[in-house]
This record gives sequence, C-alpha cells and structure tokens, in this order.
Amino acid sequence: MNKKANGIIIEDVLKKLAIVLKQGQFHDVDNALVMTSIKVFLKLINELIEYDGIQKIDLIGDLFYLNNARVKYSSKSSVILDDLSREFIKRDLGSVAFTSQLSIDDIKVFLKIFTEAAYQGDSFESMKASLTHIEGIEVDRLKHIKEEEKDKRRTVITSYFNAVSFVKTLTTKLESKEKISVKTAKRVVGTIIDAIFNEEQLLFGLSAIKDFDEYTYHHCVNVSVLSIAMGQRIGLKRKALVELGFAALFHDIGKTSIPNTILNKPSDFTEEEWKVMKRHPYLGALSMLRLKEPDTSLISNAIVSMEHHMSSEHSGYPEMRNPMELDFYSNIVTIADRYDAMTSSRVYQRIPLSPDEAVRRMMETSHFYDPRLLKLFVLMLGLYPAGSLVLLNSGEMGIVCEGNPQCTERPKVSIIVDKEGNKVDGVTVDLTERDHAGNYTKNILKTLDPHKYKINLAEHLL
Amino acid sequence: MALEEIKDILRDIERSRKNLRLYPSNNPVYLKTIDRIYTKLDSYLETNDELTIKVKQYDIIFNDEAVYHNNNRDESLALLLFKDGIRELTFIKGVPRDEVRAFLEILSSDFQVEVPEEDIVTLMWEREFRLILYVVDNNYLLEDENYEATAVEYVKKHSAGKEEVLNAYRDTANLKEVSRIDTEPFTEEDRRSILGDLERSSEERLSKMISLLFEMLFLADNKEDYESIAGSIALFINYSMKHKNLTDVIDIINRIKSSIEGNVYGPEVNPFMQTALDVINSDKFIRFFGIGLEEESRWGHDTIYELAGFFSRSAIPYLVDILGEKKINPAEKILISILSELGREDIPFLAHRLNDSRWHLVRNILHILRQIGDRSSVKFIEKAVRHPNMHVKVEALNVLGEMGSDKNLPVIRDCLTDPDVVVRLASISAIGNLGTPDSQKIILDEIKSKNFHERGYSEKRELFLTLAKWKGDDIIDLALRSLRKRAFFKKTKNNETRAAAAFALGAMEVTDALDPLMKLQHSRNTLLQKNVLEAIKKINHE
Repeated sequence: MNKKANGIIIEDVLKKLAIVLKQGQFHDVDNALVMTSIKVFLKLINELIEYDGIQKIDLIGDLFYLNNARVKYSSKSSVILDDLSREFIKRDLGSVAFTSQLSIDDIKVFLKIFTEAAYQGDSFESMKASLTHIEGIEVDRLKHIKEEEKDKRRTVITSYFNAVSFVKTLTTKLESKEKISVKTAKRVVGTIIDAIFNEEQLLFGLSAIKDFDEYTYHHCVNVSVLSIAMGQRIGLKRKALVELGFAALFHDIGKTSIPNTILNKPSDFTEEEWKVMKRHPYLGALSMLRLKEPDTSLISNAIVSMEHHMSSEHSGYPEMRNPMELDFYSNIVTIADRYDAMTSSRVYQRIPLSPDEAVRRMMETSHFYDPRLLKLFVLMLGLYPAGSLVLLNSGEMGIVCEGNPQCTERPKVSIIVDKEGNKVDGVTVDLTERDHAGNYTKNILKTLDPHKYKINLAEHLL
Repeated sequence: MALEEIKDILRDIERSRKNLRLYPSNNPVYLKTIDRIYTKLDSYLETNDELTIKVKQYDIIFNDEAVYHNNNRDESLALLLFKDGIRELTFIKGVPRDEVRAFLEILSSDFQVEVPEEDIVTLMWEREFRLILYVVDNNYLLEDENYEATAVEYVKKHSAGKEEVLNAYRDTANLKEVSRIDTEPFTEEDRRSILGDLERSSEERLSKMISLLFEMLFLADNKEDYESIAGSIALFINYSMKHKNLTDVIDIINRIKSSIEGNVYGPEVNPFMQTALDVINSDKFIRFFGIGLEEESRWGHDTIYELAGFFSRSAIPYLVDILGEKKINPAEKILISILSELGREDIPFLAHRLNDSRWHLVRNILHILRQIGDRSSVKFIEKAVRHPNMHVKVEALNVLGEMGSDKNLPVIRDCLTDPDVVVRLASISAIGNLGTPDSQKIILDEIKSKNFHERGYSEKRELFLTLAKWKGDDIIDLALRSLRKRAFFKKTKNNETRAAAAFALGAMEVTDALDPLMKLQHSRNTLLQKNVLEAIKKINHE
C-alpha cells in the first residue's frame, strides 16, 4: 500500500464505520442496507488487520487517529465524520480497537451494543461490559480534563516530529533545487516556540533522539529548540524568537551542497575532505542568498549560517580577512550547535559524548563561546542535561528527564534500575528533595555514557 | 436570533476584506468598517459571553448549524481560514477594539503573492491575541503524515533491553565518582549586557551582511558563485536604498569601486562587480531613491550629491521618470540639479521628453536644458514655445532668449501676439536677450506699430526697456517723441506710453531728456509722474 493509497484507505475505514453506525440507528441490524454496509466495512477492516495488525481508532479533541496517525479527511467526508465524532462523544467513547479478524456477527453485535448504549445511564460502561463477549473489539473511555496534560505532551511530541519531518522534506527539496516554503518553515518554528512555552524539558528530552533519521534532520531541529529556549530565557519577543529559530533551523543548510560521498563517509576525512566540509558555512550563506530576495530573516539566516563555526575568538572557520564580532544570534546558535553535535553520533565523530560530559567540555573550552550565553545555557540544561545516565548515592540508576535551572546539580531522574539491581519502569525522583534534617535525600554519584548502552531518554518520553 | 447576528457579523467580516484593502487606514470608510464589526461583535458577546465557530472548507458552523457558506475561492472567508489550518475561532467577551482591528487587518492581508512568506496563523500568532483564540491543524502542512508513528516505533524497537540496562548498572562499579563543578549565576547585569548586544546586532545586521558578502568573494572559487554573490550585493544595494540607508549604499558602491580599481578579487570577478554597480542606474533603485528624496532632510545634500556622482547616463530616463512624479518639493529641485549635471551626457533623450504630456515635467526639462546650456538643444526647445501651457512657453522663451539666435526670432516674435500677457512679456525679454540687429528691429517695429498703443503698460515698458539696451540716437529720438506726444483721446493709454518712454530714457541716462522730463514732473497722471521722477533721478545719478 503506498502512502497516498494508505491515506485514502484510512479515511475510508472511518467513513464506512460511520455509515454502519448511522444506519444501525435507523434500521434493524438484519436490514439489507445495513448488511451491505457491514460487509463493505468488514472487507476493509479485515484486510487492514491482516496487513498491519491491530487497528485502533482514537478520538482526541475533534480529531480522529488511526494507530496514532492523525486521519486527514477531505471536506466531502467532514459531515459524516463530524457526525461520527458526535456519536462517540455521546457515548463517552474515546477509542475502538479492532484487534483480530472479525465476522459479520461480531459487527452486528457491536452495532447493537453501540446503538443501545446511547440510551443507557453510563453509556460507556454498559457498552464496555457488553463488549466483553466479543474478542476482536475493545473500547476505551473518552479522555477528559485529567488527561489534558497527556494530550499537551502529545502535541509537543507531534510538533517535534513534524519539525524533523519538515527539515527532511526541506533538505530533499534543496538538494533537488526545488523551491521551499518559507511560510511553512515559519509555521514549524512557531510550533516549536509554542512547544517550548508548554513543555520545554520534554523537548530537551526528545532532542536525545538522534538516530531515527539522518543526523542533520534531527540536528537542525534540536539546534532550533535549544536556541529558541535560550532566546526565550533572555526575553526575546515572539517575532525575534521566530527569526532566531528560523536561522537555527537553517544554520546547516550548506551541508546540502556537500557531496554525499563526503558527508556520509564511514571513515575519517582526509585533509582535502575536511577542507570541503569546512566550506559548508559559506555554502549555507550562499544557498540562503539564492533562496529569496533580501529581508530581515534572510539576513539573519545567512549571517548565522556563515558564522556558526567561527567561534567568538575567530579560531574557527571560515577564516575572515577582516574578522568581525559575531552576531548575537550566531553566538546563541554556536552554543546550541556545538552541544547537539557533541552529543550526537556523526559520521566524523562516531562516539558521541554523554550530555553531562558535553556540558563539562563546553565549560572547559568557554573561550570559544560568549561567556554570558554559555552560563545561561548551562543553567538552562543543568550540569546533567536531560538524557544523562546517572547512578545515585541511593544505589539506584536513572536517566535525567528534567533539568533544574535553579539547582543545576539536582535534576529530576527517572529510575530505571532500583537499589537491588532490578530493572524497573521509571518512577521519577526529584533530587532537590530533602529529609527531615534538611539534607538532600539523593545525590548523583557517578555518570555513564547512555549511548554505550543504547539507553535513550526518548523511549521513556514517547 | 443569535444565528442571525452571527451570520451578519460573518458577512460583514467577509466584506471588510475589500474595504480594508481599498482604503488607507485613516480613511473614514476603513475606520467605519472596523467600528461596525466591533460594535456588532461586542453587542453579541455582551449577552453570550463568547462566540465559538468551527471552520470547514467553505462553511462556518456554529452549534452544528451552518452560519456561513461561500464556495467562491477568491472571496470565501471560510476557505481563507481553512486553507491555513484554522479549524476553530473563539471571540471572548471584552475583546478590545484593537484586537478586532488587528484581526480584520490580518484577514485583509494580501496572501495572493507568488511565494507567500506569511500566513494567517503566523500573523495571528505573532500578535498574541488575548481574547481571540483559535485552534489550528498544523498537520495538514506536512507531507509525511506517518513520520511520527514510524519514529516512535523505531525508538521503541531500538531501545535498550533488560541486559543492556543491567550491564550499565554493573559497570557503574568501576566508574569514578563525579567531581563537583561550580556554575556561575546568570546575573541581571549579564541579562542587561546581552540585551544591549541584541539591540546592537539588530541595528548592525545589514551592514554586517554587506561586509560578509565581500568576505564571501574571497571564499568563492567559481564563476557561478562570483555571479551569485555579486548579484546579492546588487540586491542589497536596492534593499539598502529601499530602507533609505543611503550611507550604506554609498559604502557598498565605494567598496565595489575600490575592489575593481585595486583588482582585489581578480579580473574574473570584476565584470560581475561592475554589473552589481550598475544596479544604481536601474529603474527599481531610482524609484527607491525617489521615495527617499521625499524626506531629503534625513540624508543631507552632500550625501545625496555624493550618490548622484555615481549615476551614469543610463540612469537619466529613470531620473526623468521620477522627476515627472514630483511637483514643487525639495525632491524636484534636487532632481533638476542632478539632471543638470548628468543630462549633458544624453541631451537628445532629455529633448525627446519635451514631448511629455505633463507640463511641469516639460518645464523642468527646459530648465535643465537651460542649466546645461548646450546650443544643440535649441532646435528641440523651439517646439516647446508652441506648447499649450503658459509656464512651458515662458520657460522655452527664456531658454531661447539665452541660447538661441536670429533663426529662432520668427517663433519668438509670434509670441508677441500671444493671448497671455506673461508669454508676451517673456517673448519681449527673449528678443532683447538675443541682442542682435534683427531683434532690435522687431522691437522697434513693434513700438512703432499701430497696435502698440493698445498694449498694456507693463508690455510698453518692457518693450521700451528692451529697446533701451541698444541706446542709439534713433532709439533716443523715438523715446523722446513718445514722451512729448500729447493726445486728446485715449489719454490714459497715451500716458502709459509716455511713462514707459520716460522709464527707458532714465535707463539710458539720456541727459538731453532732462528738460522734457522736468516739465512733466508735476503731471497729474500718477503713473507718468512716478516714471518721470525715477528717470530724472537716474539721469542725475541721485
């Protein structure tokens, strides 16, 4: 099934289900019209189950999701699907999962239960109780206010992946010299900013995902996330945050002009290849200039692209005949870029540093950076940034899930091994907690490299 | 009732887009449009607390009822919101007028440009509305809707297993304990100095970009890049001028010039740099220059003329174009002054623009040609004497008087009978300025002619004064005769002639005229008396 066909089929599943449920409200389940609709739906859903396993439909807010993917539907289907969402809400129904191959009778029973539930006191409970007799269909209650928090986190996660997916599309378009949509890029940056306002620490945690897709896609988004977060702490207005986030998102655009043979070379670079690599800031600035007519965002993009490897004392590249003080945005992006690069596995640096080690290294080489911004950055991430793997003095091992700007040594840690040495599934401890005597109950004793053991914070966040 | 109110508000919002685009923001229609919608919305919210509408492709829904439908792609308010991802809008009681206005202005923005860089969502988001809320579907922007699901699946699949986690735990036994690191606090002073840097960076970003472009030329190593960078420099020249940064423009020009003269980037780059430089002679650049000239006080004359010194002949048409758009303001004077220098290089072009339909432009070009003073333009100027506009005729006569010859006398003489006295006076002055025997004869004949008597005093005086330039016996004789001449009829007209003659005798300082003048010093005709007294004073060098 190709993507487009898949999209149409997903929309179709919902439509066919909606038709069955609608007709069931007005006709007997054995009515010829209802039977025809059931057969059509059944053929489709069974095919999907066979092809893809469990098919779970969720209603979140106004939107339907099939197996966690948002169902996009045409305007033609909107009336019937709006109607379906109303019927779900009426019954307090949040999800229906079709877990195994179904028969006509299964659907007939489901339809009867669904229709009758509308007239019961607790629609959902009566429906759930009745459905225990059908093996292949499971239902869940509609998420209410208590679960809003979860949805907010889900939105943030979606925003993060949308941004990575956008950068991927963007890179492909740039490589094939196609026009890119600045409008969409601005929207993407806007969603990152909103996500930072809502769940900054979650985003820092998500930036630990480095290897799902090509390094550059994640890297661009991560640098944008970290830069915006710094900008937000400084107090930049929304417009300036967009400008900064936009420049950060495009800072490595020059890499699209570096031959893939070099970019993806599995062994060390030769001197000549390094020379080519070191041209990417220049090539990035050039690409930006070719992209559109000058305006404020193009200017900051081109400047950041050109300067992000120069370092504040001009020991980096490209070398300038007449060195100038780095731009404010360049200083921010330089720090974010260096941190994310150090903690990522790249072709020319296979073994990444652990997040805490990267922060230490940056503090040791502070002369490369604007000292005030570096201070801000360290306070923002903490000495043990999200994703750091730590052993506590309690004997527990955990992964840092949230930094603490007020107390950089005391983040929140998600415990993955208890003090008896058993693998456990993450209770979160706050290292700022104290005992009756006012002493901290737990301290970080040792740190490990999470990459070495493939321990990734992201899996605990998703 | 509520439905009708909402329908009415939405209809008005749809219509407002046209008005807000059509009229300037201080126009009463513009302001009334906003007021009307604000008042209706405010009145609805007063009783209903909030208004939440759902947006479909061509419809807007309120409480499951369609309150708006329009499937015209160019006009539909629903489609405008829907295509940018807006799915729900809420107006809350107390929404201020400013927010409603900003909202309406966003809706009326022009998103029809070829490559739009903003959309409704971004503009609304940047405004940070307090009481206008919206729900946006961002997913529709994406091309790969399954990306997240696939990524989540991947991360979960590749996460550490129990063994890896426990291995890590075991390895902790061999690790050193962490050493303490002190972090410095981020102080208020740090924040202040950072914000200072931010402000400085924003101010200096354009000139920094320009400097980087010149640095990039050192890094470029092929023709395509040279061309791109030089092309960008040209774009930034226009951009700087658009933003009225004249000093930046001059700085770029000077840098280009010195790079070419000093062969800084090598001979391969110089042609591209020359092309970049030529942008200052383009229509676009000169239009921006013209707009900037409206506020010439912000630049200062020296800077303006420094830039003008870089214009070449190809800028002339565009400078003339903007001169045609300016009327009686400092910009007009500056442009005339620039063209009076630059125009020397293309007189036929300037002369060609004498055919323009705008009289003020033709007059200004005549003025420019007069400043240039090149006699080759006289043949073109002669035509302008026949221009229907009086101001043009006068200017053309003035120029011909200064730069023309006897060849132009017939045209100038024709103007002596022009219906407009100002033109007739300019014609007399032009004939006098030519100062040739033929022109003297024309004036003499005119004074002797039957019609002379009927001319007004100012013309008579001008004719006599012009004639006085030659100061020959016959002229003195004619003036004396005119002074002495008495009349029984049309006494006023005769006294005007005598007064004009008296004035001419004074101008020629004819001592023989003292006697007849003294006799008239007590004339009851005040005009005659005044001119006589003035003439006596002049002759006596008082």
